[in-house]
Amino acid sequence: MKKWVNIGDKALPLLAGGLLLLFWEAVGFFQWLPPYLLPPPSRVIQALGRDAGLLWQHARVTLTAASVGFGIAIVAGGSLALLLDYSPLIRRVLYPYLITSQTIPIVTLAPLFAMWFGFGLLPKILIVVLVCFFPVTVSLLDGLASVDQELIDLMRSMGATPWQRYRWVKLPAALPSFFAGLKISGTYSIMGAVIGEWIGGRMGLGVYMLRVRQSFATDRVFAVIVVIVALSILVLKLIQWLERKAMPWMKTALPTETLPEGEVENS
Amino acid sequence: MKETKLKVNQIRKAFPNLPTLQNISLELSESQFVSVLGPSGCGKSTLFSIIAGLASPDAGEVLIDGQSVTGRPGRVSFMHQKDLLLPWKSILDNAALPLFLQGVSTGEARERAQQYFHLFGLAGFENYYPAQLSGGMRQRAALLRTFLFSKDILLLDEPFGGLDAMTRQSMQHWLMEVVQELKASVLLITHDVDEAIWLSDRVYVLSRRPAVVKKVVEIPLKRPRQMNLFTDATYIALKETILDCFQREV
Repeated sequence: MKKWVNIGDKALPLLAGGLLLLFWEAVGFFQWLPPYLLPPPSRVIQALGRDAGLLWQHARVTLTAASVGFGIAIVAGGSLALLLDYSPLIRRVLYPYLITSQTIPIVTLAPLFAMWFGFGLLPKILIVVLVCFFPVTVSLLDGLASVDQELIDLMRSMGATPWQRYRWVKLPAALPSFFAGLKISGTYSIMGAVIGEWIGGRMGLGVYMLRVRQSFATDRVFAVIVVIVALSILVLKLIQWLERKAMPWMKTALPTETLPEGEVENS
Repeated sequence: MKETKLKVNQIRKAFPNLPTLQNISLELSESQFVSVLGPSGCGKSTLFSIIAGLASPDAGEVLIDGQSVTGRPGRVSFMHQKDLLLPWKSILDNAALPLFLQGVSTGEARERAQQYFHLFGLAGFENYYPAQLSGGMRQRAALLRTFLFSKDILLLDEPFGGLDAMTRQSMQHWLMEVVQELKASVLLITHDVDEAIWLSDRVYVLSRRPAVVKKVVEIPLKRPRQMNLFTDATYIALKETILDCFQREV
């Protein structure tokens, strides 16, 4: 029974997705909509196969911008979170600006960045940094603040230095929240790079997408979307894998009644 | 006459609009077991924070081996009702934590902690995470950690309060033996009269907030103590004395 439920967990969404694809295919097959408006899945798959080499060349450029930007965001956002956590004064001064910065629509910044930094890789990387920076900073800051104060008191009573408090207690305690932020900004990183590429350049999935759209090759536009989704999922899976590696103590809890009592020698 | 390990001298502490401790004095000698018994919320835990140096008293001083440690943490650690083990570290590393903090090398710290695993009923569970052990085992690991920080003095703040009655009783029994073996001096906070009498050489009864020492009761019962003590006439007389003093407070 339990096994059947587990199979159902995976099979039902797959079945629903399959039905949707079938319906979508039928829209094209019976010509309810012309293929230049909505290309059927079979056409998209054909486009994927036909353009695979080209897509890969553009994807590599996008991946570079996304990963460099994401990396910078992790280092910069992580450092800022640590600084804000360590110094309540700096936190009071900077936190309002950190929040306000999030209300700036990044799409409108992209053309400005092109003006300032040209059409190379740099403006794309900066867009990714801006998109990814906030979730990383806030999630680590929240994680650091969530530590049990009694645990900190215990560390103090044992004479722990500030560095030791971070090393043994605060940083590990912040990891779950930090990884939640990483998953959000990791998936945004690809999208951020694509938005950056829309303003122009020679290579990248965003550039390619504009080109094929202007020639009304809708099936190829969809093929690019499929690649973007696949890359984002890949990034997410990579972060989840790292998360499991970084926190081996999670998933170890056993049901209470099975916990060992150990041997105590009572006379 | 045994030497005085810990002396708390005329401690006074008030929080804004809330006088909490008024002239509390107590003494703990070498290898002695002393309990502080008081109604909940009377400021017992504040007293422990002051002894551990985490909080400063408004007046009075804390002396350990004759030296003032008032307001300075790092001399004695304490154990709580919550085990406060680090979920991301193995039981062995949790127990050895104070040694790591003192800069002892990883290998040596683990080796030194390991020596006590049998006595503390933790042998074979060195590499488990805290979440994989029962409450009683986690409390024993927390006690070992406290012991490895300051071997001479243990501050225990209602250490068994979160355990079920059965586990609690076997833990009290075990604690009594282990403390004797380790020759440590113990200061225990509790609101359980039986626990206080059964374990202690002396009991300080505190009043309600603002807390003063209402009564100091010496417990002359011989050691090793057995379970049948609960029906002993001296025991019952002592319990009546304390309850009488205690209940007028609750």
